[in-house]
Amino acid sequence: MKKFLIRAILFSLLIIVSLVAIVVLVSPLVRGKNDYVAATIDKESRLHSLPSPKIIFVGGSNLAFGINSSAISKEFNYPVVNMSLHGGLGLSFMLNEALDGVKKSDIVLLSTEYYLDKPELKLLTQLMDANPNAKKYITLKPEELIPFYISDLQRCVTSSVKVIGKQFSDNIYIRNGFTVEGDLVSHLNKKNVPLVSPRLKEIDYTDDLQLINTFIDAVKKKGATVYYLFPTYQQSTFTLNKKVVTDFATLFHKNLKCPIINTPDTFVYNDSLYFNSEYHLNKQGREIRTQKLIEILGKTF
Amino acid sequence: MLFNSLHFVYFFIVVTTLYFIIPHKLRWFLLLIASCYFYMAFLPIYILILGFTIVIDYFAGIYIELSSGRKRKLFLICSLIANIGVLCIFKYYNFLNDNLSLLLNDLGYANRIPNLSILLPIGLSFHTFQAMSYTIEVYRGNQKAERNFGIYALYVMFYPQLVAGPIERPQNILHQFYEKHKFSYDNVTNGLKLMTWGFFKKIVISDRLADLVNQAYSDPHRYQGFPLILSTIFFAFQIYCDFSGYSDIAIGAARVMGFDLMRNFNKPYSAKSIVEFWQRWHISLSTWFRDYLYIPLGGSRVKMSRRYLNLLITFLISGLWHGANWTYIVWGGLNGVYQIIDISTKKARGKIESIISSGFKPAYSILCQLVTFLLICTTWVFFRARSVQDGWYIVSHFITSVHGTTALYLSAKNMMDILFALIALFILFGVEHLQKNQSFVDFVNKKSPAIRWGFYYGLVLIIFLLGKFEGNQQFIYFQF
Repeated sequence: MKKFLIRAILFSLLIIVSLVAIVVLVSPLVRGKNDYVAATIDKESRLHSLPSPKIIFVGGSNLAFGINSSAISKEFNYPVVNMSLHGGLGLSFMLNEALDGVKKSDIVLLSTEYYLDKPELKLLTQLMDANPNAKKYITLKPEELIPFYISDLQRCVTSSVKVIGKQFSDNIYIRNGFTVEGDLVSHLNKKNVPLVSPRLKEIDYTDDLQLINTFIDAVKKKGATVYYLFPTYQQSTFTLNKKVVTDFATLFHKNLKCPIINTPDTFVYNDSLYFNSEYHLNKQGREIRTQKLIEILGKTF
Repeated sequence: MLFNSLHFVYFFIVVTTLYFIIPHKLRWFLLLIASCYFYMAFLPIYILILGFTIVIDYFAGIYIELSSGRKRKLFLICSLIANIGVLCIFKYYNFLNDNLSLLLNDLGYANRIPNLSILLPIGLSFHTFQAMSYTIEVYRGNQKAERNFGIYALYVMFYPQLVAGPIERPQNILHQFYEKHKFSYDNVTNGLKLMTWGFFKKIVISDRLADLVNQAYSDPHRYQGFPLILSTIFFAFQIYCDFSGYSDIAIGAARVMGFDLMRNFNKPYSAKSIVEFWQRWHISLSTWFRDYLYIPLGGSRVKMSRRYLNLLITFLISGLWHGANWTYIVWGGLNGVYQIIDISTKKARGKIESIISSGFKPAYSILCQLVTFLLICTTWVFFRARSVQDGWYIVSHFITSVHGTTALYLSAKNMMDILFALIALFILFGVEHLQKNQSFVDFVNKKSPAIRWGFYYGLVLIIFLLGKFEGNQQFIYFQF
């Protein structure tokens, strides 16, 4: 048994040292400076540098793909920063990141997707690699630590492949794909991808609601205002998931500590207006939604 | 509990350590408790189903042994009815009822019998078949009835092979629970090596290919031609790596504690005929059907037409064993038909082989392997498709003049998965080719220490670097 234990320990040490070495040595060489998530650097910079009052969009990719902040800015004469990027970064990150830059008399427009899912570790490792500053907005549970380190390790491999073979980049999910305000525009002239409507799982939103309400309290404490908006949603997916969406809306109407300024069907459009996801509007859809949003905000402000 | 989860890693370390620490007489009890815990990690209540069949078969075994003549047969029938009854209720009831509804609808009647809202217990078909092989072997006089209830329960529940086999025979495994297994460096390291190989197959290849397969098979009508062919070939590799990976982990985990489980796969995609494929694929199930169904039906010692019928029946039931869906029945039926064609053309193929000059024999051999693989791929279409209609769509759109869906399938993200999967497949088939008739562990053990260490070091690194860890994907065969 002694022989086995010695060899097992030696082998394990060899593996651990090699894995750590890969992260330490490879990671700086393949830093994702132009990755999609690296756009947080520009967004955070704009958030902190803009004067108040300003409009801050907070949420997942439904906002990143589907609004024209410049048009909204012109209409209301407020500077706008669109902080939204990807639902997979998790609610906690989105809210913490935005809260850091909220100042007195700012207007926060929050629009989450319906799944309000747990953060994707792979995405968080990419984020922390591209934008080390983002680390302060992320909290990991103890059970997430080992999977997180494995994800980080694998990021080095996938990033290396991306660096070696440029064909693995799709030219949509890139840092340069955003406008100054933070809207994604790299997809606007691309052809729609055929979509299948996914069925929403029944989710217990209690923790998420608590997180959002804590955020609302903190924003109010800073002297700013928050409004909640239901996201845009592809017509067929909306029809398929109507019950879950209705339950979601009822729950939010009952418990959210800020005004909700639209209904779930406000931004529901024909499937042809969506690019590559049930939340991602294409060029035409983005303009239609922006006009509708301007109309709603006109009545609200 | 999934083998590819952190939960299992902790469980395995604790159980194995305790196994070697505690006295021999308590070990069966430890393994039984551990196996119950392992099974209850999925859905605790279903342990009662397992308990029910264990009690029935335990007493049936004893009564079969103590009786003679018709009574003996009666006890065997009782045991078989109990086992098949459980399968029918939990696996086939809703399927049969749905089909009855369709039939009655066509005749203008309504079916008022409600469906059951129950989940299929994990690995039900596996442990039921293992239990049945016990009572059949006792009936045949090949195995003494087990008197220790705990040991018998462990025979059915032994955690490494509880949910997806290998389906063991009592003659091979029961006596091993009485043997004293001392800590053996060779057993422990060989077991761990095999487990590592299994994890490589599952986490690096199977789970990486799963997304690519799911993309096409969850909505096949979006695709035509090349994406359908590619995703079907990927599924052939996915299911092989998933199931043989599971078997390697199971056999390895048992080996660490000193148990020998039967080999379940023997490089099936190197088979040169369908008959040979089935001698290499899911060996424990194939031999189960051979011994307990095909041979009792008359096997091959009957008229040719009867032999073909026996084959067809065996494969149709094998299809149904996998799942309560017409897709599995079509899959089984196709395999049966292929077997019949294989047997009926054997002489002709033998003549062709004898005519070919020796220089072309390797090429002929590769051609046979390729044809066998492609035929098996067509059966996998129905195994994986959600419905027979989907399966037919896929097969009938393999070759089409319509273009444009390839780009949709080969997205940037998919290209990365394909690249990693191809690297891993190259390693897998490279090793399988080199190992020839040896087992994987024996093959690597014969290399010099530097090569051995280098190989396993590389393998573990690849698992960490290229493995898919998100979401702990379930093993395909758990659902059966």
